[in-house]
Amino acid sequence: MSLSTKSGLLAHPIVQAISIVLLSLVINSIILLACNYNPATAFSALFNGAFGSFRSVCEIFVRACPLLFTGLAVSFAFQCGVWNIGAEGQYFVGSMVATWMGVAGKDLPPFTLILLILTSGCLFGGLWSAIAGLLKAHRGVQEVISTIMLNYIAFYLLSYAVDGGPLQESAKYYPQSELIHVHLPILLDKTRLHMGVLLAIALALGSHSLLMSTTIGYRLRAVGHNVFASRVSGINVSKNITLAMFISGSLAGLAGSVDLIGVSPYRLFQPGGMSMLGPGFIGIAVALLARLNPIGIIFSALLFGGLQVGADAMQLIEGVPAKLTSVIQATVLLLVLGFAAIEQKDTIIEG
Amino acid sequence: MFDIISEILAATIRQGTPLLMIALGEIYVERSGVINIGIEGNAITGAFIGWFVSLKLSSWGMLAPVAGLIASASVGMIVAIIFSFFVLRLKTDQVVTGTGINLLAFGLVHLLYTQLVGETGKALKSSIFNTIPVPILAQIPILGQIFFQHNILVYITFLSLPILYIHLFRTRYGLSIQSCGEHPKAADTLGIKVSELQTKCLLFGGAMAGMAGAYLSLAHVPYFNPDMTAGRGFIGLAIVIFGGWHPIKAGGAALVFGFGSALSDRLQARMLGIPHQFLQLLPYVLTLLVLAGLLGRTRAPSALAVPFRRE
Repeated sequence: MSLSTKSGLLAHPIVQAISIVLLSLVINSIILLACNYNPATAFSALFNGAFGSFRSVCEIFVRACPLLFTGLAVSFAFQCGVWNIGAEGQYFVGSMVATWMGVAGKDLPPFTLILLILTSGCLFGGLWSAIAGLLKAHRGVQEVISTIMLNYIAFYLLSYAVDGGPLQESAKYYPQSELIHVHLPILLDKTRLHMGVLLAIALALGSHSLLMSTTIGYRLRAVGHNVFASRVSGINVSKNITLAMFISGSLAGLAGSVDLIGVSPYRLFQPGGMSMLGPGFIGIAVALLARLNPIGIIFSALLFGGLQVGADAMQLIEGVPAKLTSVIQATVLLLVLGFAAIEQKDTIIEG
Repeated sequence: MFDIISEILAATIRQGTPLLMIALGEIYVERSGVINIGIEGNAITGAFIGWFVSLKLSSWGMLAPVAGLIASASVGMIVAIIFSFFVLRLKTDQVVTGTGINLLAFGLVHLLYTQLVGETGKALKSSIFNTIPVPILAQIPILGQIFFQHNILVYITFLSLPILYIHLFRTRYGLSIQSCGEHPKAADTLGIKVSELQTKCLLFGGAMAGMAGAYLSLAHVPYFNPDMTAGRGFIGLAIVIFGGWHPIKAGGAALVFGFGSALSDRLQARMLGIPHQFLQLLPYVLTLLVLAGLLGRTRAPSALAVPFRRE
């Protein structure tokens, strides 16, 4: 059985993904042992916490939902040759605009309002991202840095908006927004599973057929294959950069608006800090584990969502800090990169 | 009135120091052609190790924080080695790898901290660097308070600026580093060992980021908090750009960011009618303007973030 990543068993992306997850479990077991935790009980608490009950499985979908959107967002950008590291900020902007719309339009019929909330969050997330796109297209500004800067600007704008700013609740007591009265319909009783999950899955399936069955999709894939397996520079996409960033950002913005009206408590809060584990950053890991394949991104998002759900149980039962998920996610990410790099080396050797 | 101003200006220098430390390291890294956004993770690791070592060695008195500093620099270099393995040896994407390093570092630090201290958040104090007033100069009214009453790390950092400038721009070694970031293939032809120089710059950057973290837990406050870096690594990236990849200009840029922090710390939310968040986001906007060429001229090293392959 050849271990080469070009031919043989490891060449198949699903096998690679599974090996990565398994390897990651091994590495993290070692880390847990080194910290005096029992990996067996820890991981079983994790697993049971995630899959143990019907409710928890539904919760996985709820947590995976924003990751699915941001994973698609990041993946789309990567395939067009641009590095959108700003999904976090675009998520913030989307949720801010959605909140404003939710409050301003509170007398509108619910269906209309929901539509407006979703589209406005989507649109402004895209516009926020397009700033970076324009800066790159017209001023040659590296989008990695500009999107990170925009993340922080969005973060502080949000922090202000609900704390003395225009979005704060009318009581002006807590740094949070008004309650939004419209919600996405809950699909199953006694769970938090909401319509947004279906929307995300539909978008993923939609991008899949776009990529597989259309000319645009074919071109994107060709560029994407190159981008993923080789260097970033040398891919000329200047005309399409702004558009690519816009579309990418709109997906991240949509994530923000869906979370606002999909998940209780249906209001916007002041973020404590810019977390490395925010949906915008995890979306990068989600996209890469799935090799930018939209169907794969669904499973990848579910995996990361499952990690989050299980981690809370693991912390409760075993006392292992939930932040272990950060380590797991990081090892997965680094292994993905490692595999991709080795694959590229195999290609060069055989080519 | 003057009291408040000089307090704020002194705080500006103190806030700017860890930012500057990170930026100086990253200037070397980026001048050599690599972009390391994992310095945020690097800094929190350094903050943790520095604090931890100083805590364990508190019987050493004044030497404890020094030991902590050395430990944080060493750990910073280890993190840099991991990063360089991925981006220089395996030639993985530098941005994504940096993100992975951040995730890894934050998770591990949180894990270790919880193990050692317990989730109850019992804050343990380690020994720290004390303020060392410069003799005579510290007595000067106003200016003395602003410039000459800081801890030793502040002095060393700012004094290193001209030294680093000369090293990077006026020595052969420094110019070789720059050539790796501008035209690595040409540098290679001239016999310059590109990967080796890039590794050394990464080690330097890692040590600096680690020490910057240690500054936070050993000089800024005597505690450790898993969120204490607060994005300073990313601010450091902004400072590198805002300062045009130039040590001395980066010093100025670091002070601008430091001023924003110091001012927003001091002012209550609406004292001047300006919410503190606007003060805090201003440096990022300025960085974007600088990048866009609307504010000063700056140009990134041409081969930045492009993996170098010897053909």
